[in-house]
Amino acid sequence: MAHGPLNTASSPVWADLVAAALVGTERRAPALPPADGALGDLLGRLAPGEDQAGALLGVAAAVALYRRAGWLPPLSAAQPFPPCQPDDLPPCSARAGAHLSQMLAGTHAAALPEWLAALSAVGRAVPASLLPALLDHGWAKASLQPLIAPALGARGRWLAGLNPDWDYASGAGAAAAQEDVTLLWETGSPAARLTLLAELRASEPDRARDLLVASWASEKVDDREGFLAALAQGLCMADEPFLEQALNDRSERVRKASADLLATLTESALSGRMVARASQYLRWDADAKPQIEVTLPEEYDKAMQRDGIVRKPARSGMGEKAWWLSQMIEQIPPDAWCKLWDASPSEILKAKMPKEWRDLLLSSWSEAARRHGDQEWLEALIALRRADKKLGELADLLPYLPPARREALTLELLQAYQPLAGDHPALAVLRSLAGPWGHDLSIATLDALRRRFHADDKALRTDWHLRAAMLEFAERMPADLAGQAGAMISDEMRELPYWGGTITQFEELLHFRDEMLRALRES
Amino acid sequence: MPPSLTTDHVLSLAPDAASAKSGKSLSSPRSWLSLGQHDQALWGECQGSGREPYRTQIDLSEPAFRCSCPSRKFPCKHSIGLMLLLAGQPAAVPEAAPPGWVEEWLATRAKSAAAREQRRQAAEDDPAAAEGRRAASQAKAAAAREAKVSAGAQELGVWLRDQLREGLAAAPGRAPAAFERMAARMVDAQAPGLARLLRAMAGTPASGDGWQGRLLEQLARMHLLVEGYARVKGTAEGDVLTAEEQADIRSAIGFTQSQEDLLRGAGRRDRWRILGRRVEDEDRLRVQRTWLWGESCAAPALVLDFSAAGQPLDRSLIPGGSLDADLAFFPGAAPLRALVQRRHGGIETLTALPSFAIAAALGSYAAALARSPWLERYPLCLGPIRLAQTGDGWLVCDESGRGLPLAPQFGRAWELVARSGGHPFSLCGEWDGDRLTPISAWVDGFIDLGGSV
Repeated sequence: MAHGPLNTASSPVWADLVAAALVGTERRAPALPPADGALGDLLGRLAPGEDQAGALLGVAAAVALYRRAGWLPPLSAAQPFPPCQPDDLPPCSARAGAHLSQMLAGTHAAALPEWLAALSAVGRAVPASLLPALLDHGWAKASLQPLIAPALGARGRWLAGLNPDWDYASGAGAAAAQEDVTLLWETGSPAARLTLLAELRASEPDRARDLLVASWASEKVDDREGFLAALAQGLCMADEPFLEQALNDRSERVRKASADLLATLTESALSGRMVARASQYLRWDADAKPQIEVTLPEEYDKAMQRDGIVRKPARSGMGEKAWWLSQMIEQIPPDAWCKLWDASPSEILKAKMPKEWRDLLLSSWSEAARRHGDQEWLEALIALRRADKKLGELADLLPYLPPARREALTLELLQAYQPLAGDHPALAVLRSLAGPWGHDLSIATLDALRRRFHADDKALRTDWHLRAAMLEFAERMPADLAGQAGAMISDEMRELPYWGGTITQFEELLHFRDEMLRALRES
Repeated sequence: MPPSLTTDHVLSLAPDAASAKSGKSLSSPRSWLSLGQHDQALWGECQGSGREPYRTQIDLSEPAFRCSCPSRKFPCKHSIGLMLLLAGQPAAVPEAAPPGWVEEWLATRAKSAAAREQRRQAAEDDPAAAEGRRAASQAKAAAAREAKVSAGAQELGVWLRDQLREGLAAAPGRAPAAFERMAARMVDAQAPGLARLLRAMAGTPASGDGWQGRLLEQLARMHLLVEGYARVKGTAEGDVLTAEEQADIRSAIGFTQSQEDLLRGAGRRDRWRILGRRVEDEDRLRVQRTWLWGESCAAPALVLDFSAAGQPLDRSLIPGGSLDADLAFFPGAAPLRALVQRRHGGIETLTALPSFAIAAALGSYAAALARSPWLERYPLCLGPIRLAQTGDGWLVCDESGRGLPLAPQFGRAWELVARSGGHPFSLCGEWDGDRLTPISAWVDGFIDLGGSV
């Protein structure tokens, strides 16, 4: 051990004694080591007579103490870490820090993303003492990394650069801090470079793309795919030449990623090609009773491959040709069909379709409406699913509407059916509806929950679906409803068999979020 | 209690990590049905799983705790939670007159304190009579024990020579059984100190590279102890040992010193900085080592506390504080272990840690070791230092460029790097001759590193 305090090899006298002790005095009489000064005098008085083993022990005791008392650590080649830059953000209050420490220890960890976002919003940094635990947490949980990076401050970034496990965060803030972006881009780890690219993309989109273009040829496949994803933010037509170039990539995943980006640019050449391609297979028959005719592509050609259409079906139970067609429809902005056929979304959806292809068309259009965020199509699809009584599909459509509209629709759905049980159509929608929710929807949900617990029907005890949903709700409702939620829940409810724990957790998480956000605002 | 109660102080009172965690979850006003405080006491009612709410009360002057919950931990999570609440949000606990149940308890406490004082006074007034009764019966038992220990030590001396005669190369084949057997023999011989050293030695042959040297050093040191004891008993010839050296040998063998005698003797008054503490489990015993540093004597002291499993340890010496007190030192050539004899005032908040270069701190250790070869641990107060990471673990580096290795079990090195931002700071730790286990640091304030929480 290089830094082992007492090194046997470095001291010949001691090494001789150890060697003699290993062999044993009955095999070989030990030779006493020569020594000068006071140690020599002492050892001289321990000369072996009959008692060789005793003498060896005595000498070993004296020499061992002599060495230990005189030992100084060697001059070390290891360099202490260089000091960090002055802090750029003030740390949050001790109380806010205590909340973070609790979450990092596993209590109410669900609120951590919200805490991190709120911290960045008030322009505070994580207290230095908690940085290592937070960086470790982000190492294990990649989804938190984008939230951790802006909460670090200069000290956190400095620290992240010292430990290879944490380098995902070391690129954070470099762009804003005007540090040497090019150097970090050329020498950083993949994780640090990805963070850097994403940050730079937010502030200087063209510079970010140019950085990537310059090094593109030498990037690894996995990295190329990740870097492309970072371009999604602030995507514009200036990116098209590069992305069009990336369609020639050898990797199918890279081609697909690039095509997906181009498809969101309605002006792009790829969008044009895709519309031209798909319109060969869907024909609009504008009769008094309009109908859509469907044919399937016969051949998988090079052009399709280049435009990111994957050959082998990813979904089971779907034929190859149907799979190709569905990918084309998903890439095209659904609005393109309205222009092409001069019809509104609901007219298109009400048209007569071949029975065997109806599901494929509806699911592909749903995906296209989600990708392109087409409100009109989403609304038309929702109306159709409601008319068809296919309420299970709503959870895949509703959450993509703007917050006010989606919450109003959810509220309508919530109040149209009773009670709020596992099979309630609003439950699946609520579970996929991202937070933070508005007050109206939250209060209506609380009320529906209260009525369900009050009724205490037979199915309640085994309603695992609702139970799992409760804790998600506690993450998404506005935290300032904590008091109101507590007032709506009676002691009987807290003692419901099988349910008491969940209800208490629900209350506690809401209260915790309330306190934690208050503490951050006060700091 | 220190004038300002901090969260860290409260957490250092928690008997274990689980209590600290549960305490934190009870540290919000909504966990409490009622709350109140006045200058001496703090109280609250907490709805637990029982029908009646638990009544938690704390006498802040010591602090002392009482709670009606059935937990065997002490202090319980309710007491921890209540104090955390006071530390974190003092305004949430209203000033009030104590309710009946608090009043009652405080009165009982005052009464028993008075009774204790009376007994102490009585013993002081007539020490001779009590002493005489005790001495007669004790002398007989002591003589019997000395005989047993002598026989055991003699046997151990022969056993040690046998190890060296046969050669240590055979040790890995015989350990740990041979060491455990000898340790059991030493327990029978009423020499628990020797038994403990033997047990610690049992793992050495399997401790990796360089075990041969470590084992020889341990055996040789034990030999020195056995030989020393023979001189104490006059059964072997050689140098005459001083009373302090004899005391070191007796205490290493496992004789205990009467604490009452010690407390009656003269103490050393100083302002003692409480550097930090470590708690370790030895067999079924929990051992707490609290390290102090005397401001005017510029020397360390060690206060030991023991508790059987689950029992509370004395937590009244709060790391990061300082205390004007008389300390009674156990006799020894390099006196280190001490008892708090008399306090002059409460614990005040520390303003700095003592700090020395590595060479100077190791110089004090060497001086103590030279006088007392069986010294197992010694506090080092280092600074200004910085941390460096190597393939073999962490190093504490001072300005001379020397690097002292940290114990690999120490898990908060990154936290120190983060808090210091790479700038020099002060660090106190326990040095076992090989590695440093940090107990506290000073980075813009005191950091307790030794607690179990």
